[in-house]
Amino acid sequence: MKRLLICLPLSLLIGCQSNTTQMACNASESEWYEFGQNSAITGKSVRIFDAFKQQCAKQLTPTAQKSYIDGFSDGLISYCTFDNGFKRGQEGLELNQSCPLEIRQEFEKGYKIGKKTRDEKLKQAEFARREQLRSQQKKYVAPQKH
Amino acid sequence: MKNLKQIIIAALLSQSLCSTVAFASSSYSQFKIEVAPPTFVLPQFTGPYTEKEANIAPEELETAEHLKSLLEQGKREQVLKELEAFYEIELSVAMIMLKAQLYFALEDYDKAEQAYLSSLSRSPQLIRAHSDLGQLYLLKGKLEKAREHFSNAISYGSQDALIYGQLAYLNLSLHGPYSAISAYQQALSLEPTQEQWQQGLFIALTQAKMYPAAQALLSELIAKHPNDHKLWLNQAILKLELDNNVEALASLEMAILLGNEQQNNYKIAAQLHMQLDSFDRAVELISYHLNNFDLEMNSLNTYLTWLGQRGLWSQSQEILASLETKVQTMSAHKQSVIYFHHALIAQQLNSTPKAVENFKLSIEKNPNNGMALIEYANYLASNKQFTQAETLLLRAEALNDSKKEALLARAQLYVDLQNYQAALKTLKNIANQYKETKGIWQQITLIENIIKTKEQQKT
Repeated sequence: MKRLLICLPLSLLIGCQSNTTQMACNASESEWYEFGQNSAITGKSVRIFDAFKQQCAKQLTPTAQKSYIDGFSDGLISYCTFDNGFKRGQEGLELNQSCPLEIRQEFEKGYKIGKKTRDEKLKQAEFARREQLRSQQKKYVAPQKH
Repeated sequence: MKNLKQIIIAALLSQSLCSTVAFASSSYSQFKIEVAPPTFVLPQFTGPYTEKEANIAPEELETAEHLKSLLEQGKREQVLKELEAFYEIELSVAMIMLKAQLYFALEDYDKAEQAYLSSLSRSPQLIRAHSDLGQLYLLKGKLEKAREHFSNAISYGSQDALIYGQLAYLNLSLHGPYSAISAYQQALSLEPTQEQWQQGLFIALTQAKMYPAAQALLSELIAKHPNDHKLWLNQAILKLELDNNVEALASLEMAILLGNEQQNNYKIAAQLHMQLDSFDRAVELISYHLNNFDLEMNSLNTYLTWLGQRGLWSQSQEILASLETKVQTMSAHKQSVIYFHHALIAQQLNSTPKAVENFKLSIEKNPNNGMALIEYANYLASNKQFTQAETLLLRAEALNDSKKEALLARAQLYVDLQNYQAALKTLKNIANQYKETKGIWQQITLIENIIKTKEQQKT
């Protein structure tokens, strides 16, 4: 699973052989940056980097973490928006805790509204379902009266 | 011929034959009273919990409480270790600030700087980060950067007297007094009794030559604290700036009376007394200075030269006598200076054997004492021992500090011997090496004329 984690995000990596893990450890600064940025934009946790730290150990380039975090931080600016919060809320996912305090306000607002919208929709659907059920029950009960 | 001798002697004197005299003369006109310079003080580590600018994220409250209890137990390293386990992006700015402050407190300045910069990249208007980073840069000697962050802290609304004071200090150091006055005034308005800001404002006003304002500030402070010797020193500085030496001396004496123990101030007070002809007090101060502080040869030279210029030989003797017990424990270099002055006094008092003995001792203790070589040579020349005198002058010429004076003395020696060709050659040598020497070309022309006249007389 870990190996899969390592392999998937890096665009330059092909396959999941052990030598590709080696490549990931030696990835360039810009690759780490891009990986961090993509991770944030797709709502992943910053902690996915832990897997690299564990697997690569000393093979990890010294600047890898900084580049990854820089990319992730920049990615969060794109990610922590009203729209993404709304989308996440609407999809019924949990509130993502990745957004830093100073930029999370809009994201959380979006999430609440998205969740409310979803809840409303679900409520309406439930209401409609019950209504339908009730009308069916009415139809079924009515002939007996006659 | 007598005229020519006088002219060259005058030239010798005017061209600072004796460097000690030159030192004494130059220091006579430039008084520089020693006062404590404006300083900065680093604030104590206080922790971030009282800060309102950066908030802790709700999900961090539990961790924050835990860290707070560790901090209260003084476990700073452990707190840092726990904070370092997080990626910075996972922490709120408040937590990064805590990290930065801990690094700062543990004197890991590079990491502290990085953490403050990281806080500012996320919250650029964070006053506390700007002010702390300013302190850090101040400590690291990066004054321009420190100034920039203090200035930012104030721009974003800091009302901390310390920040105004630091900005004022940096402006004073980097951009001159005018840029510091307003910030010092702000600091003083927030902390009216803080001595640092009073002193800083006074220095800035004085440097900006705003003397009435400086005097008004000082008068107010002296009225409040009449026994503060630092204020009297400031008063002395101000009076000297205003060329009022009498009042400057009175203030300086007051400062000394109230316990000011800065060495240079004794020297200046003595100098001012000499200038105002109050010799007894001058000698008293000189003796006190020489006997209570590390004996510094420049000061001794200066004092004895002043006294010599005024013909106060017995006072000079008195001063040297007071040092008699210490002489054997002094370095050879210092002993050489003392024997040299003994020789000069003996020479003035016509005590020939003693003069010769002391000149010899002085040169023996320090063969590179150029002044002793020259003065002894002059003494020998005046006693017609020209060959010996010439040898000593040639030795003095080998020393950079006394080269010019030795050359001038040798030129004089040749004039005394009526060896005008040698005198001319030596004077031309001086003119080539020391082009700034005033009157040298007149001397050369004069000697050339004498040579011509002599040749005409022969034909």
